Amino acid sequence: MSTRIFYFYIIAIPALLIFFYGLILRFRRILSGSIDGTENPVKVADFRIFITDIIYLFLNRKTMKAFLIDVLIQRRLFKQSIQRWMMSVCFAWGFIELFFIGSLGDMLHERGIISLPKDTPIFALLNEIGGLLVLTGVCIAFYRRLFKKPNELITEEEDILIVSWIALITLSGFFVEAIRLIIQNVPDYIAIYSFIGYGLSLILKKFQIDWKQLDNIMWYFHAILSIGLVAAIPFTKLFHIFSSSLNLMLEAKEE
Amino acid sequence: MRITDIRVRKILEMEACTRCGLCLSVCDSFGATGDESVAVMGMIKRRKRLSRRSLDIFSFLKPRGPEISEEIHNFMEGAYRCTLCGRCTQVCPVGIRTRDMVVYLREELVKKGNFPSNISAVLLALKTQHNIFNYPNEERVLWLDYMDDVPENIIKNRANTVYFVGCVSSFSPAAQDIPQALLKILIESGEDVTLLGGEEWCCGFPLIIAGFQNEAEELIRHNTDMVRKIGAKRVIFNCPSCFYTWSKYYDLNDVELLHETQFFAELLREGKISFKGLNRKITYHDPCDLGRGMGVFEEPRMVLKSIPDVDFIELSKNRESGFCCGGGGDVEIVDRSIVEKINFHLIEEIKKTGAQIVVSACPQCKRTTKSGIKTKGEKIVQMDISEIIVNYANIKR
Repeated sequence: MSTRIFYFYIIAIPALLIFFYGLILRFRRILSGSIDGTENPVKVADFRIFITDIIYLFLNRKTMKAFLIDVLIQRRLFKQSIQRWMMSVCFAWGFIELFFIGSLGDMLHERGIISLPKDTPIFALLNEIGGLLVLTGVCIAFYRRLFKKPNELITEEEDILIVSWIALITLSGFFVEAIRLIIQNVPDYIAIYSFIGYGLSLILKKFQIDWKQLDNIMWYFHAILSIGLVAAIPFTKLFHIFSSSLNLMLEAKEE
Repeated sequence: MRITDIRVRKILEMEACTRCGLCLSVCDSFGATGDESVAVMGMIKRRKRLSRRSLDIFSFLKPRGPEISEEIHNFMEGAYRCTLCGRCTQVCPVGIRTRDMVVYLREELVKKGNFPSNISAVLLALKTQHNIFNYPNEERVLWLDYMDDVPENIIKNRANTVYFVGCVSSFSPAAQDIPQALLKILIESGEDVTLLGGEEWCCGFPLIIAGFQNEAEELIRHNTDMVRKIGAKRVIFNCPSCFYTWSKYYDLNDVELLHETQFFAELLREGKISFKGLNRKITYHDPCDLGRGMGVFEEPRMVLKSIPDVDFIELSKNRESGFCCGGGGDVEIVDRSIVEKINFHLIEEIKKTGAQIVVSACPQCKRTTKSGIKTKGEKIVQMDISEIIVNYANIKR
């Protein structure tokens, strides 16, 4: 295990513990049936029933249909506003791709479970598309919240903070990739699949910098920001990833 | 508790709100006040802020809010300024049943003893007089005095059909044309109909939506017993809110519940009504509780479109997205100024269609819209669909 991966786990383990602790707190509040979580103390058995209920939702044809159409494709949002839909699906699909292909793929490769070097054309291309999708979502979000400012869109500090956080993760990711391409001297015909990182590397190459040192800084910066965002999910409005999906599926079941 | 438990579901719905603002974009109360707290998004925010175990890690970034009692008061002020029109339910991308959510939040407030003082007067009126106007309940059928040819035994011990008039149509002079018209149609079409007279009690709707569902039980029980005693097979309503309440809260599975628009569509299909021509531009305004609440959209249109020579024009927002008249949600009891602003918006939309007559099927819509048209000095005529039939159709047995 490389030093980087070792330190990544050192950061990731407490972050994931915070994430799961936050999820438990949040779902405990929901299961208590009262907003302050005090009316009905939630027991471990309640969580067991809750998890069983969720598993059943994924075994039900009606709720799975809602999961595909209303959660993944976000049909309802599409019907209301194409711009909002674009923003939301860019974030959702971008992160899904980056998590399942980028992070998980890379992790499995690191552990020798699969062979998926970073410069495998399809892997590099999908990672880049994922990043681009998230960045598109960031741009639409900033445009709507800072420039378009429709009456009904009330922007709070948390909104700006989260979008900025995501923007930093995405941009730092492209920088990490660009610096890697420079350090590893990846040939152009391979590097081109990481089209944004590659383009950035062509610009960065013109500067005289200690790339190895910068690579370390950027890598840790990107890793801390990314894993930090995961830890923040239950404590911010990002929790809607779970709560909204669950609500849409339950609604379909009750219809 | 299971995830399907009503209270768990409501908290989950609150947690599902992304504050996307789509509910605000269609909220007439927000349009009238510019205050987020009158819309479901703002109510959810306030309710969550009241949480003692807030998980908001960004709270340090936000300005210090008011004291808790003031916060509860502000929350209540907002919650009782929603007309419960349900337009937001149609647009919510995460499936929050916003109308039910507002009623739930009001119930929560009531449990803690927080509700507007004006609501207390309604509570008292319903407890003592069994109608929201606080008039002696025996006066429910005073409008009969202004009708010709009404059989003397219109209040019977046994009948096939009960015509449940509702408080607004019974007592509000601005809406009394409706029961007069509907009763005439019922009699002329040969329906074996009775009124409940002084034994008709409020359906419970104003209490239920104010968060006092338990207090509505006595009214519900009384009306149910009356229908059972009479042996009626069907109950007909001209008020969509009564129709909604009976359909959702009354246990009368073997009794057919019909709104007047459905009854008229039935008469039309049976050939019992035929229209003379009406050379006018007309539009139809969907009452919230009838349309979004009960899904009755096509029957009134079917009736109106069957009138020869009529030029039927839809409002720019209709059916599931139809405008609110402002008269719902008990807002009139709490803050009349909002009702007027919302209604003026509706009138502007009616004007855009160029319609000479705006038809609706709700006594509360009639009251508010008629009053709005008068205040604005417009030339549009407001009519209930029953009045259209009485004035422009031949009715056969």
